Amino acid sequence: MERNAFTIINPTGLHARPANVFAKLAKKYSCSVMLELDGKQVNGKSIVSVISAGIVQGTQVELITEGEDEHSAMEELGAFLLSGCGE
Amino acid sequence: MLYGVGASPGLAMAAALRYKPEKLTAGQAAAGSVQAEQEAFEAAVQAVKAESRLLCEKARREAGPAEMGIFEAHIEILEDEESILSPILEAIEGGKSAAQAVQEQFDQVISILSSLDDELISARSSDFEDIKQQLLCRLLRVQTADLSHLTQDVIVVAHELTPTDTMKMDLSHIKGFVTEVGGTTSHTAILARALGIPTVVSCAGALEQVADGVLVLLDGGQGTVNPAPTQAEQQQLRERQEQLHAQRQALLVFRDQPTISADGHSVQLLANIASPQECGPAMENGGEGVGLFRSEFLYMENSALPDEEAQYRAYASALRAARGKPVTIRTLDAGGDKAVPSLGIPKEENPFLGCRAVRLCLDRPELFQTQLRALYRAGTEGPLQIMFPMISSLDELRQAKAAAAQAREELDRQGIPRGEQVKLGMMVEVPAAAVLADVFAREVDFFSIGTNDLVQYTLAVDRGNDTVARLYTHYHPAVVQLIHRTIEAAHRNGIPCCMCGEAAGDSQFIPLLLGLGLDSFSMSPSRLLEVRKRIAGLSFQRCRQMAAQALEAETAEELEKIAAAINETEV
Repeated sequence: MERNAFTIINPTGLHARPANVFAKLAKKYSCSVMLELDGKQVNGKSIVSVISAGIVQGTQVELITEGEDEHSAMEELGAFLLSGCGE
Repeated sequence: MLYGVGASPGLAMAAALRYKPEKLTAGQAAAGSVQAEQEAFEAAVQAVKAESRLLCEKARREAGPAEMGIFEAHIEILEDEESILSPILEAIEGGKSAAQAVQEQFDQVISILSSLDDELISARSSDFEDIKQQLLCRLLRVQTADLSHLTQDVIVVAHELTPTDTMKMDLSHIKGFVTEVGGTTSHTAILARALGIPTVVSCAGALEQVADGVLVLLDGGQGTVNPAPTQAEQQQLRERQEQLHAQRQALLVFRDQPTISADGHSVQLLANIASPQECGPAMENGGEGVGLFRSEFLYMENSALPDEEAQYRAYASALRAARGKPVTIRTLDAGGDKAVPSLGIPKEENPFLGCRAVRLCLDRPELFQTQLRALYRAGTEGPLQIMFPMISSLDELRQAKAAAAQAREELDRQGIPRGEQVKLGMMVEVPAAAVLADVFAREVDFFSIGTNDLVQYTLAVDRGNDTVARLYTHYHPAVVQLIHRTIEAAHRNGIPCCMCGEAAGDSQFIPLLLGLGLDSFSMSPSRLLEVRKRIAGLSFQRCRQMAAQALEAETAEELEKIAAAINETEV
């Protein structure tokens, strides 16, 4: 299992478009992808769950990947979050 | 006769098609077998996904990247195992019908989203409502009006039209749109202008007054709809349409030509646009570039503010559509008469003289930075020029330029590519800017005279106020002298001067502007070819002489007479 903390930097947070891209990226991997915030975990492969979590700019989230390809998943998804979700 | 607001010019005559999509609900009908309901659900999901893919593709061809994104997100939502597919299948196993399960699960998501603080995210609940309706439509086997396959030409009459509605339509058969609500910057209006479909919005009561299948006449320029035209009126419209068509054909020869006077003086003709979709057609109508791209549409569309990505896509799309021709984008010019709900601007006693346009942006650095960043990023797609509206002091200008520098520096630090040769200019519309034009000209790359506001401020006249509107005229000597002063200052300091107000498209005023030395004229795309033809028939030298004379005039009447006189001597 890999776990890393990220701060969401793009001004509009994980709203529809970034959530869409994030979920699509996450689904490429067989491992589980979870986002943890405020003590709750949200399935990163579910666009609806990600949007509903209301992750806005400045939120600290923990990205948790667990499974066979957990390392590549962490790399790609982590880079995505670090880059400001491409915004 | 029905009256609304003209949102896209042109005349249309066709059978009316009333479009009233129902809001569907699941009802209490008992469920069939679990297997049957699950299969029905899965079939509905596949059907909606397939249609969304088609709409996405259609959006890519006919509209823009923002519209595509809507449908891409819809597809992803329909593939969401955890929050959509599994819960619904389970609910069906628990005895609910597919329709009930769909409605309950979607309503749950909608209610969670609506309760979130963040406006941008909660606004997404309308996407879920849209998808829910599409699924219910298939599950309940309701036949909604299908505008995707039309066999005859129609004018669509509706209360309002959503992006999905508009995108699904068979545009080749749609000759006009009439909506009861909506404004000239609504999604439908923008699409209609981009496609050249005459449209009237804000036409209250249209649905009641127009009967299905009856021939109606629509004038998108005047904003009128005639629900029961007489034979004579129909004939009149046909004749006007033929005339317009003949005129358009005659002007086509000027399309790809440069703009040169009879004695060889060149100027530039540019287009005023309000959305990326209008850019391509404007260039095809003879534009040598865009002189004014009003960025407000992005802020007026939704209840939430447009993020950097949405703005970037819109600006980049316009630059690409211009295919190498320059595009001048004006930073947010909201407040005052241009109400933008998502900005939450408190009501002002005197909005024209208040916190609007660049002042608002300087007051809200984050808002300004978001737009500037999006602009500079889009600058990699073509020759971009940025201009600041309502500049009234050197201090304001310097602050705006500093904000632009900040955006550039941050993008560079983040390693995000941006346009390198982006020119920065300002609108000359506050009289102070015209009076001190010499001072300002040293600190910008270009001027753009905004006559609409310049006239109002200089003459202290609100053109929207019926009791004084007749006093509003760009022929007033004070206005013309300020224009002269601005152009002279620009040339003395080696920068070009453009004009993007309505006056730039006034046929009678153009010889005067030419004679005063205006370098670029930016106007509504529909005027471009006519103006090019006009300038080709003018002698620049004669215009200069006339302009010198006009500057001596003491009244607007006198000045207009002098300007008009040249029309008679030129061919």
